[in-house]
Amino acid sequence: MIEIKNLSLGFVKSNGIHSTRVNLEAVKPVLENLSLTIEPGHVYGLIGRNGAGKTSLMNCITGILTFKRKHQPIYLDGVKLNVNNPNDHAKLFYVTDTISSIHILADAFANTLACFYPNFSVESYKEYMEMFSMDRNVFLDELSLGEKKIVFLSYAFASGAPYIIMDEPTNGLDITSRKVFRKLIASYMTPDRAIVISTHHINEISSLLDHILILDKRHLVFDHSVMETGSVLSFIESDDEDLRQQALYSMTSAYGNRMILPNTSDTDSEIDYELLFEAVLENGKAINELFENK
Amino acid sequence: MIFKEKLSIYLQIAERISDEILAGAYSPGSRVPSVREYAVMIEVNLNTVMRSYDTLQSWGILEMKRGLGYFVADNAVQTILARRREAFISTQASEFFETARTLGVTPDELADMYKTFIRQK
Repeated sequence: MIEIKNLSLGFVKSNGIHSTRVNLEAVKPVLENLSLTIEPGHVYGLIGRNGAGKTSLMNCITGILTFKRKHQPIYLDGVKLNVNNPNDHAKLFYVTDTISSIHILADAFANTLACFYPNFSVESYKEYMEMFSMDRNVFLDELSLGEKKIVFLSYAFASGAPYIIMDEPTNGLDITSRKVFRKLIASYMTPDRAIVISTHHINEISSLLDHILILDKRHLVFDHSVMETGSVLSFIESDDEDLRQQALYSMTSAYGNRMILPNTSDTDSEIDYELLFEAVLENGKAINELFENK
Repeated sequence: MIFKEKLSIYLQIAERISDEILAGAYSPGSRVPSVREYAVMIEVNLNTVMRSYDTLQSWGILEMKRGLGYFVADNAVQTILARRREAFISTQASEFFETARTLGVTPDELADMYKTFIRQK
């Protein structure tokens, strides 16, 4: 389990060096008092507008942004995260959005990663590269963004790490590779592993998620499972004006309005992620109250 | 009035598996793919597919044999048809009748139309 307890983070304005927030005047706040638990056995979708703090949050979880031990707000399996500890490091695999790389062969880097991830399977890595139809005889620094993503996704799924954190994993991937990516997500899941995916393309991975996280203006404004969301909220499309009046949120569509209503039936509807996202940004308080009262 | 509501993904999968059973892809008494196999095949979250299988089990369409997996219940086809009949009468039929009433289609006309339809099948 990854627990984030009251995480606040700010960047020093002058030179962009990060630090935990001490003095509000001196910093540009990025995340404020954020608490969150990532439990094994689930796939989390993290969505938020540009600049909401998604990448910063993932940088904290994976130890890219470090804290003094006393201030460390991230707990990994009950203990304060320390990425310098090889055991902690081996539990986390981070696929960043922009991947900077050195002049090394993809296979050679897989062997290097195998030193850091005790459950790394070079065989699986080769199999996934094959599934992506990706040539393995390549230097990492000579690849396009999409190709780099493919190589690092193959590393991630071969790592055996219990927590995989991905920032915009499908950026740069072609249609066929996106399909392979979805199959690999579905097959990676076991009760002792969790995946966190940050994305702007929520619809293409929505069926793979079972938990939704929405970040807005430095705060976590939505943190509910897909199952809970389906039982609390109804997503319908209708031209009925009375229904629109009762809706928590509505958006005009070809057939009238797409809207969110409290779910009063026994049958859950499919979540309209785009609508949910807009609704939470505009009327998060009312929506969260429904979850509390359920 | 236009009213569209798509079923939750776990229910869509339960209906899809029911369709596959009706089409004979999985016959009564035979084993269906494991939750993991099915999740990877249709690219859906494992817990969501688990929920679909649980639901089908609670409907009496699938049976779980510990350590062996999920199997199609002996009377699965009858159970699916009975469920669908019930759903048709409670929802689709009433929507259909509502449209007929609004447009002034009389019960006699409806009965004749249905009889003709059956004859042509």
